[in-house]
Amino acid sequence: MSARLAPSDPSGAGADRRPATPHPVAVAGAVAAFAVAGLLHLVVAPEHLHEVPLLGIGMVLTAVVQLAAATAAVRSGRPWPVLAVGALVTVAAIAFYALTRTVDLPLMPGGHAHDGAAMSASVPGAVGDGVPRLPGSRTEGVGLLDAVCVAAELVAVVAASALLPGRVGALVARTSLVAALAVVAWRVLLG
Amino acid sequence: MPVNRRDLLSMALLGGAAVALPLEASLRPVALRHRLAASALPAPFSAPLGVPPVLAPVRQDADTDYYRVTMRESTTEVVPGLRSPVWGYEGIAPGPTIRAVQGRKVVARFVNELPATHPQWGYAPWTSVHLHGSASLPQHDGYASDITNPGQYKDYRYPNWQPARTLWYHDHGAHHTAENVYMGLAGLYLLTDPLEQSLPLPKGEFDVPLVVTDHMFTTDGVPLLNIVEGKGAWGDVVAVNGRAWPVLRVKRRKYRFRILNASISRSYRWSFSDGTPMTVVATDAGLVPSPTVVRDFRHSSAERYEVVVDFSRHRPGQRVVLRNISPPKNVDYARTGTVMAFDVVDDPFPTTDNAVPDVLFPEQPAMNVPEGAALRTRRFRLHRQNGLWKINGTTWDDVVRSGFRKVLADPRLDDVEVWELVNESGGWFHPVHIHFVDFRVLSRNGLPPAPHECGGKDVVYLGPAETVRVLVKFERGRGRYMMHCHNLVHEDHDMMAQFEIVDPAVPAPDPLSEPSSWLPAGEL
Repeated sequence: MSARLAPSDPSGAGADRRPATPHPVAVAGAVAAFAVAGLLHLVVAPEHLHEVPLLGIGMVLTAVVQLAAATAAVRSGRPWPVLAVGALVTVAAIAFYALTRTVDLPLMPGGHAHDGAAMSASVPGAVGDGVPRLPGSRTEGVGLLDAVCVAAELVAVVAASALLPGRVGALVARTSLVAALAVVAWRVLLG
Repeated sequence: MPVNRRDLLSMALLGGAAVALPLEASLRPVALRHRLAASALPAPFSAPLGVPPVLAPVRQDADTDYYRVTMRESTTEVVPGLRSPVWGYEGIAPGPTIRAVQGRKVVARFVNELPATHPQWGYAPWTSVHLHGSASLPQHDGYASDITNPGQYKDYRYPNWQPARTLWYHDHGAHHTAENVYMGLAGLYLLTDPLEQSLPLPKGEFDVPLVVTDHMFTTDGVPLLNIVEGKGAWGDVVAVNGRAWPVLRVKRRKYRFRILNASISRSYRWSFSDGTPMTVVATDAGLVPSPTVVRDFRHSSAERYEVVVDFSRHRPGQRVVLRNISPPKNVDYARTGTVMAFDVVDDPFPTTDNAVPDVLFPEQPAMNVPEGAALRTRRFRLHRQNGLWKINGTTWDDVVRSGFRKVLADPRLDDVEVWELVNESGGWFHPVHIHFVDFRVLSRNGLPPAPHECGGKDVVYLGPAETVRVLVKFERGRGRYMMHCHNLVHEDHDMMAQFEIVDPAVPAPDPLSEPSSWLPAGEL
């Protein structure tokens, strides 16, 4: 992504205007990056739906939003609300990705063969849940698809910001900052 | 384009967090963040070797000894100076040793007084006690789904008709065997017989059990179980009889060491620092036909090897270190190559029972089954699929879903079969345990078995990309028994299946036919 930089404009002048002539690189970047991220989420969604349905549903929704954003970026007239939602959802996805690879999250599968399968109920006479939750078992490892996906998402966020009206683009940036700080704080306090 | 530097910096911060934090987690896994540093571990050989106490029966009658064993939480010092919680039989790890005599039955009441949930790992610690090496009835074999909840007990009956051997009792509860055994639920059960008693092998204080485990701890002493990519859990502390890197003072004579690898994943290859030879006198199924001298040998989880070591040629004051040359596919740490030390002293000793006869047990049943008697060969593929460990595509979950009916083999009573165990992967090893039976290792990748595998076995090491053939006779029993990988992480996830010894004339007892009872318990 090679967005051209504008000087900081704390007054917000011109913040409501959309870029008159969007840079073709920004358009191409947004389309390609949203599409890659959305498709990768679709690819891994079934596995997650099986393991943790909530996570799988989240993946499907993220994919739908990202693919819609890719479509919006390429369309003439560029419906910026769709692009904005795509960028904000993608910021959330990046933050969630960072958390899942950094700390144990309660909703993540515990790395046990029987997680999510209500297996304790299949042990005759069992009282309670016999599936251990080991420290670190709810922290996902980084895989190739993950890395490609998050790289695409970062490109998508920057490219979308370049295509959005100034104030909305700034909102995406501020959201990114808040998300980054939240992730770091979570790691420091709970990791 | 209205992306200013400040906005770009904000997004770059998110990108930095998304790259740096997972990278940090990869380099310093979450599970290990509170690990006791290697620099904080004690100097090796600072604690004397302890020997688990022998459990006294609560009563005896004409043909049976009765024991009561309570599983409970306690604390111990595996690492000297660091108090650690432990779950032990009678609150100690290893648990107390049960001594049994061939021909006298044992009834052991195992009472689960463990906490309702594990304080760190959050699971309900039901148990199932398996007497490993015993030809027990299915309902007394520690069937993984035949569980005892906290607040319950079960009376296990052990027949003790087999030849003398070193057995061990350990947890086998579904879903968390690895965690329960790691917490300490393992102990020795020594069965003797007239033949063993008649041999001049070392006895009494010169017959020493060595229960080897590996551990990892947090800085405050809490056990830390780090499962590496689902393949296993390897600790950075090696303990013998519950003490890290202990030392034993030995007199200048022969000792018999009964070595049990009770680690949940780690395999070892033993050798002495000065090349002292070891004479293998017994394996899982007891005395071997004739002894074999080795300088080193491989030992996977749950196997038992008994070796006689002669310290008579050592100088008083000499220290001999038992080392571990790690077999492939273990995770090793700075100190896992060292196990324990033997300090030779010049104290007087009795000269009786200080020999290894050239012939020990030529009639060893498992070693006398002719290969030509095999009726068929069955092939068992141990593999990994979608993150699950499987045997011929089957998991314990499949057995459960079949109403506990699904079996991978159904030999008839007194059938002899060759079982071909196949590890298709070069990425890991499997110690394969077949319940109820003893077997003979026929070959390993088409070559003869290792020299130390010279006796009857119930666990066999299946190395990376290896095919091992074993010869089994299914005699003196019937019913469904488990077979599984004794890397307990693999077993829990879910490399366990079952077979059935079929006797058309006599129905077999169901493994779930004698469920546990709630406390309070009546008279034993």
